[in-house]
Amino acid sequence: MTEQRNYFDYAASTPMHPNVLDSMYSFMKDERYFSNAHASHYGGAQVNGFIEEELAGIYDLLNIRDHELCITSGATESINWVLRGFGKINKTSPRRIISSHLEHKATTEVLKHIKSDDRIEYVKNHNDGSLDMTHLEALLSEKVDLVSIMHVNNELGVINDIEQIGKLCKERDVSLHVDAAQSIGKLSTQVLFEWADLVTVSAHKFYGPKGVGGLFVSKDHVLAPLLFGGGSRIRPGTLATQQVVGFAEAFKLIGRLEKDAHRLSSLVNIFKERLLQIDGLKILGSHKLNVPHIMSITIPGVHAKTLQKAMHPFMLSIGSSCNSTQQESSKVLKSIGLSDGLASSTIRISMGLYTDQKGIDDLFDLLQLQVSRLRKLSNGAPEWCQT
Amino acid sequence: MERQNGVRHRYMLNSAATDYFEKAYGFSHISQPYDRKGEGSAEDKSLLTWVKFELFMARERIVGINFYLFGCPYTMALSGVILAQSLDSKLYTMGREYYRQLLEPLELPRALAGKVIIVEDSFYAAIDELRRDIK
Repeated sequence: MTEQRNYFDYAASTPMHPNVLDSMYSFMKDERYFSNAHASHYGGAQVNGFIEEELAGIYDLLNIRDHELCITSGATESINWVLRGFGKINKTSPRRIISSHLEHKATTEVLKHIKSDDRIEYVKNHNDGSLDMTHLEALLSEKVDLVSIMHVNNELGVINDIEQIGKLCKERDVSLHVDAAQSIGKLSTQVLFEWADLVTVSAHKFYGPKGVGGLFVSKDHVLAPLLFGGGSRIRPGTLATQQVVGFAEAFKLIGRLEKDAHRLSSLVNIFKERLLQIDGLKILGSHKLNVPHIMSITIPGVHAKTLQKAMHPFMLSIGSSCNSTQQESSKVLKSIGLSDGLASSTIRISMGLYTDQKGIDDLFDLLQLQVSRLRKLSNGAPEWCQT
Repeated sequence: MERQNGVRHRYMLNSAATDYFEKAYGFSHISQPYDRKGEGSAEDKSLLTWVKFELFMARERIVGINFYLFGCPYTMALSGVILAQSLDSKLYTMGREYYRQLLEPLELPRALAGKVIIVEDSFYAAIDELRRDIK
């Protein structure tokens, strides 16, 4: 319990829920289900039947009719598959893809990689992390093949209006891919499947196992394969059946998680009020459009990496990484106008199912103490550290 | 660097560095009246690191050290080890070799050499000021 109470990095990964563990364990120890799900003998058929039932359960839970779930190794693979495979069946002409600078690296790094073949454009954003919809509309005035946008920003917690983006895309017959890694279990999924043609999800972001995720593909879309080999027609390789079982079980938690988001919301509101008592502290993102469970805070004069270490045993995340030759600030933080100095003073706190009042109180007390200590240490530092 | 489950972790403070990191409050007790004070600072904006040392000296010995910094945990651990190890040292023993010896137990990753240099530059800028005063 202590480890979970001290854990404030749910946006990076969540602990596996006991129901998920139980379902995986039962499946793995059942001798009927060790065969390769693609095998043509009766052992394979048994496993395949079990998995098909699990997948059918997901479709029922999410009330999905027009999308097919393709199992992948996680969100990164799903995003790679969309961005590299979309519109590539029997076509070599350059594609025009619109995304934003606020996307996860899984998107921005692929876009960097494919930019020599395709035309990639980025919708502008405001400093609160929301997208400039007027600019998106302007970009959509010319022919576009694909818009790829995240539902909830993993650093800021800002929610993108998928309905509005979806309407703009549908009116112009443009396909929409939504990276929903951070929104499943926190926001209603209805809007996703109503407006998006392709939806990326990752099991370990909502209490499922790591190494498995999915791409929901609407039935009128076909992607060129990302991987080649034997096995499934859709994605080659032996299906990680026990992970799919855990993934399916995690989907069953969604209703409970969405209810828990209300509990979390009231805890977070009090926490935010207390945070703002710390001199100079700024909560990033949009106060109206944020999910409660992810927040990034900037504390001028406090080096985030040092604060992260000083906050032991609490587990928090930082947006910047450092090495000897350069300080690499988060692209998302820079995109919302933060200087390198302020980006290096930004930490992310993300909460979840096992976050409680005591954990938050203890986190705040230590944060207040360590901020005061580190600020004394940075007394007299040059202006670039604090502005 | 520490090994956990047989894996050598990059960028993880070892137990000595963790110890110095935790004790690094930046200010030592000044054990006796001092007759000279040396100050030195160094910074590298691209590394987002700034360090300043204040050294207090009495009868050729360091009797007090303060440091101020904006930087990563390694920078802080390194400054912490200087504070802890250099108190009561004689000025003439504190050549560059002395600094290299201080670094060893921390097993800092080579990739962080830039930060090691910033701490070194600020520390020796303070020492140089003390030496200048003696001349």
